[in-house]
Amino acid sequence: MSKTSRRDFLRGTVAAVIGGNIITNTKAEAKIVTQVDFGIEKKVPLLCRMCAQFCPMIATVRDGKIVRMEANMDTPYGGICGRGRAAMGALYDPDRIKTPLIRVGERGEGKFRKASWDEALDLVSHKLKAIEVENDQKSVAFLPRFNSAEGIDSDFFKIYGTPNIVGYGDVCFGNGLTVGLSAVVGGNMASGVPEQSTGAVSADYENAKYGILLQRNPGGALVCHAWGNMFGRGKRNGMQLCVVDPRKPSEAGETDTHWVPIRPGTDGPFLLGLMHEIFKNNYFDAAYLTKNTNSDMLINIETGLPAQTRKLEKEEKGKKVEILDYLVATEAGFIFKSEADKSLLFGKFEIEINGNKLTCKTALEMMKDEVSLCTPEWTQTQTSIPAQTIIDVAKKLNVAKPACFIERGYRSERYASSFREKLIITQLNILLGCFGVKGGVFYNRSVKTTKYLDAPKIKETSISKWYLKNEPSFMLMSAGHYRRTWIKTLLSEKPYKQRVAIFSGQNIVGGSSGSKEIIEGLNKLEMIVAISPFLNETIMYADIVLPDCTFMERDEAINTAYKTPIPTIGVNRKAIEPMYDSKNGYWIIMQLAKRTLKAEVFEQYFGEFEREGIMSLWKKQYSKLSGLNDAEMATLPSLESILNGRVWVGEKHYGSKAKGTATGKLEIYSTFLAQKKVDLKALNYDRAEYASPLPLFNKPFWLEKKDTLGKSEFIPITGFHPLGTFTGQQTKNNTLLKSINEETNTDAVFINRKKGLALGLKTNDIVEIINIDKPEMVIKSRIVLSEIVHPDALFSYYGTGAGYYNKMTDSLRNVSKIGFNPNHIANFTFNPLTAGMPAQDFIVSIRKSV
Amino acid sequence: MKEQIKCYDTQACIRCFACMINCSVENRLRLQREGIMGMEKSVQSQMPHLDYLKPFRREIGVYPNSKQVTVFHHCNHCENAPCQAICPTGAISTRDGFEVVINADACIGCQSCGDACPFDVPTYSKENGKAYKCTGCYDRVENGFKQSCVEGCPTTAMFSGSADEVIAEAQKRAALYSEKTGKKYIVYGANKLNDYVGKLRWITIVEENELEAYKLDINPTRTVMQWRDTAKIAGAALTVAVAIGTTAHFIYWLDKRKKKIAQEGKTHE
Repeated sequence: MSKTSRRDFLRGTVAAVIGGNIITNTKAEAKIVTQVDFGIEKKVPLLCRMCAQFCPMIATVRDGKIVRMEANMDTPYGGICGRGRAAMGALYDPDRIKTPLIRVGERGEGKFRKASWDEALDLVSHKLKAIEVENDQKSVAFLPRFNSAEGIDSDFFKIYGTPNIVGYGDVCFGNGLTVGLSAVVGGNMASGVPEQSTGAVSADYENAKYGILLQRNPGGALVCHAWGNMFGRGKRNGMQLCVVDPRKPSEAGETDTHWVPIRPGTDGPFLLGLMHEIFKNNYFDAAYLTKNTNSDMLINIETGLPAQTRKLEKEEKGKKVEILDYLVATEAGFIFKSEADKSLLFGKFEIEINGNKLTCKTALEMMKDEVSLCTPEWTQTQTSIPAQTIIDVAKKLNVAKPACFIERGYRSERYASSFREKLIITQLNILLGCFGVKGGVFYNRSVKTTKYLDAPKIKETSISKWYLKNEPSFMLMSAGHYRRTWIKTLLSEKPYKQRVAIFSGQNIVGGSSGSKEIIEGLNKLEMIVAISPFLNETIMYADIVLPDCTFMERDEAINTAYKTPIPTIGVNRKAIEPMYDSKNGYWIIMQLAKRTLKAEVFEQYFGEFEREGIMSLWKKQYSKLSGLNDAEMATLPSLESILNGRVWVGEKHYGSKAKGTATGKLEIYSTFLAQKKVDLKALNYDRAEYASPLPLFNKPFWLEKKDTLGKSEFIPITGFHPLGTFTGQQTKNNTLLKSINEETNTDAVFINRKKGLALGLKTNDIVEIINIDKPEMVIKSRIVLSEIVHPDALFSYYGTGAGYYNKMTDSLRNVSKIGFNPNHIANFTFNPLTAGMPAQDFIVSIRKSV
Repeated sequence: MKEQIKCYDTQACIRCFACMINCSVENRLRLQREGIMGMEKSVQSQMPHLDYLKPFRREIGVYPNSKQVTVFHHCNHCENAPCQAICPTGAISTRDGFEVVINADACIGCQSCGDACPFDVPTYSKENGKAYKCTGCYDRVENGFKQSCVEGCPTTAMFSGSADEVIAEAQKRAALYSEKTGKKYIVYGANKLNDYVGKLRWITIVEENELEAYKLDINPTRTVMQWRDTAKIAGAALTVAVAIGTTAHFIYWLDKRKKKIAQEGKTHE
């Protein structure tokens, strides 16, 4: 056989095999596939919203259909996960909301009729106008998530006149993760509570030698760009991991990680046990602490406040800043920090200040004393982790430091104790001298674009600011993310009544714990509007449903909010026209604005957008960028280049400087919290200890209730599935993800095999799950008996089960009718001070379903 | 066309399943490209036969000394592909890039390949009565693209290229993991496993003690092949006429077998 004929033969089989291998009823037409077949397609830059993380990706459009997704490799952290790859399964989901809908049944029944856009939009705008006539705009709340009109949507509602733009983050990072970091390293003080963005810091997986993963694993709670990517590199570089988790996650490593099963809700004692070992064995980095922190601050042991302070003006980058100077102990006596060459890190002193005799200790001495009883043996009794394991893990941290980290975690709002654990994690990373250092934990950098609309200041106080001022138990809550306290307001009508809610992508009924009370609150509203491409539990309660299109079907504002070490600029472009009768979010908001606002007000704010479209937004956004250095500014590409899909990136920096603490230092002993604790005590708040700047164990609610669980009782822990997205149908009802969801039992609950056998259960049995505080609400689920789950834990993948409020599953072809969602039956309680949700801080009981 | 081998690294993998999803999507894209079914329609039904790369989860050990492993089930594109050797109609061939592929037009659905494969890979589809398995994305590779699974991996736990470079990288990684963990990591399939399969063109970086956990057989074999070899040798020793007769009978037997299996399939339903 000659060479040519052989090649021709093989060519012939190319098409034959391609066609024939894929099973169809029709016979494949023989067609030679060449490079042209791959090259003629249209490539469109997207920012993936299969979850919320905006990973840059590229859609291939062929014959008017999106046919595949690829990572946009224009960034050093390029990569998309399986959800992004399966975006077509969401886009072409036949169960999408196809037209505007108007409710015809009772709220919750899920009975709607189709409506025209005109009818639906007029209903909303007439209501908004009627409320405006009554001068009661504050009674309207806008609840955005997966924003469909970033840059104009929240602003429209501000221009309309409501201060209540209600974020969802109190189910996630708000406010434990935020304050657990910012109280120590500083943050924006605009609301009176220090805040930094959720992606403020990263663990330096790539360069770490050893790390402790707890409260999150970067493979399961997958933020592919950049954390998943960095984590993969770390593993490739031989990073060693200790995974502290009640359930062993495969995503963190299967055979190569050290799994330490822990009793649910006892991360606090584990972390304190580590700190005990660090102090006992001098594993801390004294030079780092002296240079970067307020470890040497003298604290009045009576009040917990600094012994003496004074204000000091300092020049920083040409700007005058005021910092708090504080008293330290030196060989030569007690002097202010700014005047001390060398200060003592440890010690107890009697000092006379203004004629008063004070007993003082250094901040580090206070911390050391606080954990002196948290021995490995004590830790074992609390966590079920063997004492020797605590000793070994601390030793490994010491050997690896500063190239080591304790994972900061992500979704913090799980237990009453969550904020406290985040605080201790920050303190531990600083004690080891790895905060801001290569291989440790470091600040991400970001760039800011120019704001498009300057909405007028609103005189009315938002609900969150009212709580911040008037409710001691919410003293550290987020001013922006407060949908649970908003529900509290719906129920109590304090500080004022809420009448209309407009949900844009938020699913509060499925995604926030205590759905029963949440629904009670929602039912008090005069009108509920939901904007979403997909069904969710909340939509079942909406009066008007507006189907916006998915991110694949619209142009969007330039985005710079990424969880990346480096500043990053990218944009999402429309790949195909909106499907069915869905509309892009900008169109929807513009229509609402036009129909609601007075003509001159509309012209003032939205006239330009109406004439020039989204290009006017892009131009304004890109006109001035802040947060970059000169070298970076010099490399910025043209706007056109960004719009064509170029992802611009800046540099990565390490550094251990504080970001706006009172003392200008990393406050391992937070002066902000010390003052808050004093304030809370003065207000007689019974959980004032939850504001302590010291590392101490505050129990989760469930442990306050019971020390030992009964043989059919569990704590309902959850973890993210790498192919799941909160409670979103874009992954739940996605056919492309179905096979793997089935193989990994995403609809089941997992319990310890031995405990399950003792209950007479076997894998695949159907069980009934109740919250012992709300026994009337029963959820059915399939059960899996597993060797990788702690006996006190009942594990389920977060947001994947149908739950108690499962009406919508009637309309979803790929979603099981049974399955667990702990939010539905959880208590409507609040984490102390941070006002987040104690998502899994309750006890469930299970029994075999008969 | 340069040879292509693929490597899966159990240490760098974060079990996100992007490779498997991307494989399933690529097969749907092929359907659209061939004018058989558009993407919009194809993503609305599950079609398990479009998934060439599948996970199997298993738990090993007893709590708390326990773990879960995710076995990757896929074609290894063997050097001495037994499926190709046993295929009576020559439907299975090895391409220049080392991809072992089934030409569905020539496949009569006898399922011998499935019997011969020590990794249980070729699967019979009742829908069209033919066997299917991973094609190594040779259509992509021959046009300068990476395999769909490899392209899908966000952590380069999967990578591919020429045998030399892939094996060198794999061994480098295995050496590093061995050094960092104090446990021995090996590259499964880089060297000849046995005469039955030879070397593999899909190799795996794995801790040596975990070969069994990941179902990586160090001596993969099937007895069915011996029977086939006997027939072949016997055929060669006999007269041409007899040889043709033997082969014809063999194909006849396989065809009958196929019908029998199809029948069994129906009664099971």
